Amino acid sequence: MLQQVERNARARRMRNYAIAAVLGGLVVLFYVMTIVQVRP
Amino acid sequence: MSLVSLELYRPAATVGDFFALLKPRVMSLVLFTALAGLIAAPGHVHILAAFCGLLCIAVGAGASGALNMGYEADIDRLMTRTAARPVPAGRIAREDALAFGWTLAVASVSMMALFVNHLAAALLAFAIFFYVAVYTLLLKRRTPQNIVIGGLSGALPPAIGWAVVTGSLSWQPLLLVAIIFLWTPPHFWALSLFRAQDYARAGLPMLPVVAGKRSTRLHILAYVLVLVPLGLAPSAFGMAGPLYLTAAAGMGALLLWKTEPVMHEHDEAREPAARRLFTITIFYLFSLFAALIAERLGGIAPLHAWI
Repeated sequence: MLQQVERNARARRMRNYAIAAVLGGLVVLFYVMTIVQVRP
Repeated sequence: MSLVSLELYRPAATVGDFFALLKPRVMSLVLFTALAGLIAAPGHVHILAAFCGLLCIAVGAGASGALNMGYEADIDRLMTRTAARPVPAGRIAREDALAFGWTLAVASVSMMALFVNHLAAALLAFAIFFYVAVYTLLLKRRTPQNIVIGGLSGALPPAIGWAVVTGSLSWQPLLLVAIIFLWTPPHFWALSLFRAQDYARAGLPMLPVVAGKRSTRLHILAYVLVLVPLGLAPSAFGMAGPLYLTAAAGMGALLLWKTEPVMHEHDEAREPAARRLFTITIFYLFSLFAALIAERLGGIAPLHAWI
């Protein structure tokens, strides 16, 4: 049972990292696309 | 033991489980056909806009997959092919899969509208709506024509890719849409022949369950007989060159050759010919679109320029 709790905690941690990476990637993409679009 | 502590001992969803919700194999084929439409389109688009468009198409396809798995969890649980998916296996709650899918769907369409163009966004929204509302919720449990009509959503990516570049539509991307539209039924009917028991157990009205295997084989043959000449059409109408023509003719002949044993299969329990045909249909579509991409990237002129 303790192993399962540890596995769950690890899965939750990895999910948080993945969400952070996706959100970070989107921030960069939005920034770059905005620069591209507003450039004359 | 309280409910809270029980929840701690339940297997938690991993990143891989959420990735599996996106149906990555379907997504890769969608992305590939969209890329072909994007590359085949005339004109120029900024490389970042093209990347953004393809990303939106991939995310939109993934959203459709997640929504499909959320809404179909009850029938996925009954079929061996789908029972291990994250929702029926209990690793992701149905509500979480639906929330994930709707979030991605709205995000992909919004991004496409903001950064690419409104036509591409509208086509993407239509494809997601058609797959989720028309195919998954309306047709799949009601009619054996589910994959014929529902196949339109999976056929649209080349048109979306084309619209990313041009902001418009013409007969060329619609021809590519028609090829995938006619390819979808024989591909899934081949699958349904060797998964007929699964579909029957889940109560899905797939063609072998409702009309029998003989009728399904005839339907596959009819669609392949129309698909193969249509696959040659991009060359005939000046959209593709000799490489595409070779791929379409060669793979078309192979498709016909592999359809023939399905017509008089004796081993109805294992359906080995249908399994082979299922694999060949994937290679068929991949070869046609790979040839189209290779010709455009290699600067090979359409066939009429050679005559």
